[in-house]
Amino acid sequence: MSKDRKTSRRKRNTIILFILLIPIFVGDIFIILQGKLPFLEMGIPLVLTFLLFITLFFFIKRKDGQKIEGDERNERIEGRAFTYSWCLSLYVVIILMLNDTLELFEISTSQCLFYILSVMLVTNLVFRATLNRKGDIEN
Amino acid sequence: MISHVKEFRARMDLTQAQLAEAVGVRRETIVFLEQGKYNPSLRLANLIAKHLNTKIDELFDFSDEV
Repeated sequence: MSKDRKTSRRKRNTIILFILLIPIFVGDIFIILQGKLPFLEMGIPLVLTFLLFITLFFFIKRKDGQKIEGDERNERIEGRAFTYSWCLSLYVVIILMLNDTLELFEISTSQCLFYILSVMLVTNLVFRATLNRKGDIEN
Repeated sequence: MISHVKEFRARMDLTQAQLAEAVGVRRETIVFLEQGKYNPSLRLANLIAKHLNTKIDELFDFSDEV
């Protein structure tokens, strides 16, 4: 794939990601303006938006920065990190479902989402860094 | 896997960064490749062999894995 095509695809993806963030921002503004929710409940969507922004920032920075498109080791690492983090997030989902069934702790839906997304994001970064230190991820 | 990339690269008087740029990968990939810690794809092995004016079987020795 030519460099120009890659650049235009990257720009298009960035625009799409920003467009997808608009409804979240509008939602956040409504939540703040209404001010009906308790502080903790109101903070969670804002923290989630912040996490999304951080992810997006690193995503764009990485694409425009030192990462070389098509580096096969990078691609393998990214794929593996996503798989591992997804599996761990699924594990967290199961734990939360068990918690709900056994009625151990009272957790709201937004708190659930916060836990799942946080685990997904943090484990992805951790796995990526760990796998990056290893030579071959197939080993 | 025993890698001879380092010897061939030295013969061509190339740095790891130069080779990495020439074949379109990160320098770390070349580092792990030279240490024999990373199995490259056939495409990458072929690209490196081309840039180092050699053949894949001269660059990588898999005899210890057979």
